[in-house]
Amino acid sequence: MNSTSRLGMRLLKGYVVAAASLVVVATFLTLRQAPPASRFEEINVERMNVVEKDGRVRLVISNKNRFPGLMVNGEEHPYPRGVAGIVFIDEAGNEYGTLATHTRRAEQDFGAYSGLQFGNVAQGQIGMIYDDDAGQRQAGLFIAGASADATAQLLQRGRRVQQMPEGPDKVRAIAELRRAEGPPRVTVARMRDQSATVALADPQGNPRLRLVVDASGDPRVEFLDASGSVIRSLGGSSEL
Amino acid sequence: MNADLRFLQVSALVLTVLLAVTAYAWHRATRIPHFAQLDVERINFVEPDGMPRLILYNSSHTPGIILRGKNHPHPNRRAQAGILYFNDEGTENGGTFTFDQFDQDQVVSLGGGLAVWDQPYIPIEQVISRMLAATSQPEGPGRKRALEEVNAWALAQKIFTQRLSLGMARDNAAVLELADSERRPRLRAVVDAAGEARIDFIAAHGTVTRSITASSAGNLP
Repeated sequence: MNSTSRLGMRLLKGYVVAAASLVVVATFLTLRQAPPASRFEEINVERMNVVEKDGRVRLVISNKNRFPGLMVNGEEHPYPRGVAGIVFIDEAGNEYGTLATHTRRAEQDFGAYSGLQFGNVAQGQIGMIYDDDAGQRQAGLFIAGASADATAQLLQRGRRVQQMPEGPDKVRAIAELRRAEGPPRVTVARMRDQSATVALADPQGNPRLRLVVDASGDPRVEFLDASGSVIRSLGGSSEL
Repeated sequence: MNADLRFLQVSALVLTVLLAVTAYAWHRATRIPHFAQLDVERINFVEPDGMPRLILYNSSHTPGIILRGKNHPHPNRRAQAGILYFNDEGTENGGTFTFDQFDQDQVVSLGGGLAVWDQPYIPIEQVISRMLAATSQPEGPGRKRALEEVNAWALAQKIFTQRLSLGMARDNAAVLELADSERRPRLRAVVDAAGEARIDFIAAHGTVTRSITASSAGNLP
């Protein structure tokens, strides 16, 4: 063996010793990371998944940044929501409820949405909702019927809206998507026109019976036809 | 020479094994932690910048009122367990089945029935600081007067103007009540404790001007 290869061998030996020591130290440090404790007085989390033994997710609590898409048959689909809150998922892997909230503020403009909803996006939902667009607000209880679109269509639409650049167009598209999820059947709310209203609607979403105290304070019970015209109105002083 | 070679062979083997162990341990240490059960007194769900979005808490960790991510003493929240949500600005916007208007107090609630309120767009900080100024005074006639003043102010600003309620009344009737923007009930649908149903139209000054029942269309005289 010449002197060069002897030097090579020595270097190699040195390397092996150094690397071995490093691995030992790294192993020690990694293993020393205690197993995560399970009792805390207070913790900060960005997202928490409550899972079954086999890993199926049943409940997610999340900030806006990590909020999940829409769960359908155990698969998560991108769906634009821009909210933080809670998602409830059933045994079959379908979302059946959300508690969601979001706000936006810009110069001369603001908007807010909070909703606790149960049901299926395409098959009808009941929700307690507050929805505000720069002071044009409604708040109350809303029951929506089944959507004219199938789940697959809604998901496709959701994916398209999700890819839109952030801005007022996207906000509008999300609002439209929410409406496409199903026509209003039962409304018990303070409405955008400043009235307090109970409205019962036909399957197409046209209100047919309405109890209203309007912005001027007048109480009325109204029967409407499918085109939205009032065909009978009972008021506090009417003789009808 | 042979000894050198054997040393290198053995070292390489040991290193490989250790490397595998380290890689596995590293993988375990960096994946999302998994717990079979967690006992926590309070969990803060936060955005990456630390702004709160949702807090679950027991009674010994009841938050004050959190506005733009900062905790302030709450004028009337007692120590209680619950859940609070926060808007994109880190300001409280609801809790256990109530929602607040943007930067304001509650507009809809599902506790013991459905209730809906109108709220003015007065920043909640202003309302809270006025209330705190009154509630933080020492007991006595001065505090009482300050509380009355702040209540009168809130009434004049139309804070908490109830517009709608749906639920059970104290007399065991099932009631739907719609109010005007001055919080005066104007339309009421009732099934009373005896089972009698009626729809009442109410004038602004509070008298029932028409009552429709099963046997009467409530025509006025």
